[in-house]
Amino acid sequence: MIFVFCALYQEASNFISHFHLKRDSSESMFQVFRGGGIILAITGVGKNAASVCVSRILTQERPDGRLESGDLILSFGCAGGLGFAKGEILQVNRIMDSDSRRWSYPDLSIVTDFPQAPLISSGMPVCLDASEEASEGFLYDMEGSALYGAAAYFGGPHQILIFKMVSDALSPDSIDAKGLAALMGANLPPLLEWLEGLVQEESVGDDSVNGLEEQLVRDFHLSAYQSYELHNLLHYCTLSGMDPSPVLQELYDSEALPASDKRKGTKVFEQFKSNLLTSVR
Amino acid sequence: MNSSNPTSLHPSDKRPISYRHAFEIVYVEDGVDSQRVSEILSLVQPREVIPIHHYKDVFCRPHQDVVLQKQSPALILANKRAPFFYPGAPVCQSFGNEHFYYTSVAMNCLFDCEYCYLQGMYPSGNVVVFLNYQDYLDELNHLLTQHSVYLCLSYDTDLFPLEAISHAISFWLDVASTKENFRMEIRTKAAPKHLRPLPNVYYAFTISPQPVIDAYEHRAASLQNRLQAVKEALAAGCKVRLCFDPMIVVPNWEDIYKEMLQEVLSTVPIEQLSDVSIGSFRISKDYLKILRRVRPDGAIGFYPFRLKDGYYHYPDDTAARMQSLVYDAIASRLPAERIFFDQESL
Repeated sequence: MIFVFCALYQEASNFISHFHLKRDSSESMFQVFRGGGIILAITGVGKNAASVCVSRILTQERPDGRLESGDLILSFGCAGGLGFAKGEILQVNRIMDSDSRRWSYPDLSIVTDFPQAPLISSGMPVCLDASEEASEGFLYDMEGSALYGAAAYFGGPHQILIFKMVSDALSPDSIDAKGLAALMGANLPPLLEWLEGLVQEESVGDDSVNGLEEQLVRDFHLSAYQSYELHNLLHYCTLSGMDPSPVLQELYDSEALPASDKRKGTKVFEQFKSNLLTSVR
Repeated sequence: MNSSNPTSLHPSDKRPISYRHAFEIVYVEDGVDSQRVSEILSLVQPREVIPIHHYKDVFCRPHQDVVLQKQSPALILANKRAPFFYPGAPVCQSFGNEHFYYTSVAMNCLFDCEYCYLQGMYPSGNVVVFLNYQDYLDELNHLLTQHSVYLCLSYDTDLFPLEAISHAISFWLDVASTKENFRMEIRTKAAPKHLRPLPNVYYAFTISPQPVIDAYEHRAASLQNRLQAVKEALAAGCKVRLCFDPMIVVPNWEDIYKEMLQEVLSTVPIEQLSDVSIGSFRISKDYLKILRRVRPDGAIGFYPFRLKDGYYHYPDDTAARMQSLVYDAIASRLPAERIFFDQESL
């Protein structure tokens, strides 16, 4: 699943139309759109809103609090900055929270052709006239550090990608909603095209292995720990190209399996492990 | 905009994602030697150079994907803080040396061995190279005022593939050449050329069967190339140690290891070796747990090991048969006192 987070509808609208996402009316707290392996949420402006939205969506989708290995979180929005072209899309390679002054570092393992830049997130818009902090070559927004911080509870740094489009040269009042939408429409296609390549196919599990495992847990009368041992053993067989079937068949042929009770089952399980490992030689 | 050469690292990840080449991203810690950094950057030519305050800000982030990072590691240039030397772990062989230390001049390496304990020890697959060698040397000099030192230089890395960047081997060889009560081991799965012979430096080559190298020691040198390097090192007068460690249980392991031993015996003048170490795979309980998590598709970690004193081992009879196999092949050509066993794996 790809989770996309944008602060504003104007930042999200091109994603929604490009990927034909449908509004999820069951979600009342945030605007959420779904479709084709993508969930897009509009967080609202500011660090609190970003944190709450990311936490809510990811907790709903991944209740155990861990992203799956194929999951990605993509944050996209506009940012101000000096030394960039208006409409330029950049990948964020480090983020500083202006309150804590602490830097975070998303992994950059996945190849993109977008130029990179550091991002500074603050609670107020950074204006060139008012701010003493503005430096050339840095992007400024109001959500990035909080979004990254919340997302990092659920996934690793390799699963969090942050992209920004330069909307202004630290004069946020110079662009209105209409202008922002136009800017997005004109400059977003390369990012949409790149994202298109990432939409994941659904993976298919191997039910036959699970079926065998469940049967063996029953026939051996295995405890929870023994079931864990069996799981790892069957996994080892799969990975090392071993077929446990002949060893199991012998046990079924000799009527050692199914075992009549837990005590006998434990004895046969030990025999199964021993016979199997002997066959590795 | 992603490139047209997709590689998938996870079976569950079917996206056509392309990952970066090694060291396309370089992180540079505050305060490292700027001249050395410039030299390294001109050699590596990274796509991005990202300044960081402390190497742990990147290296120790939670929930990193070690396996993915091993495919396309970033390079982190940093200064090591004390301690610079650590007492050798019980599962590591001391070769009869009393004051046995190891050091970390780099963390992780460019090889990708599926069984490597570093995957359980480090939260990251990125490579850290420490550049403040003078600080190491100061502490070594202090230790040497107290007693002799036997130092293993490359437990947490393989330094040969990093030498062009780190210059660590040449630095430590220079150190070794000036110290009398100091001995050093440099262990590798590479096939380095033109090794410098020194009386107190052991070049230790890890020897594995080619099928094990193919399956589990990704990007490491072939058996043939390692043995050729061993032969050349011996001919140059170097002290050479062969490490049949870790020996790995794979289907038909006995035949596979016998074939490897034949190749070793026919290539290497065994009598000229300083010593040989033999050990089967073993790993701490905690590291195995992490190894299974980060390598859910790695067969080695899912073997039904036996747990003893906090370490997982092969069953005693299997470990004993593995060690006997090598010992019996070597013993006729090397005195028994120059053959060391890993007692922990028995």
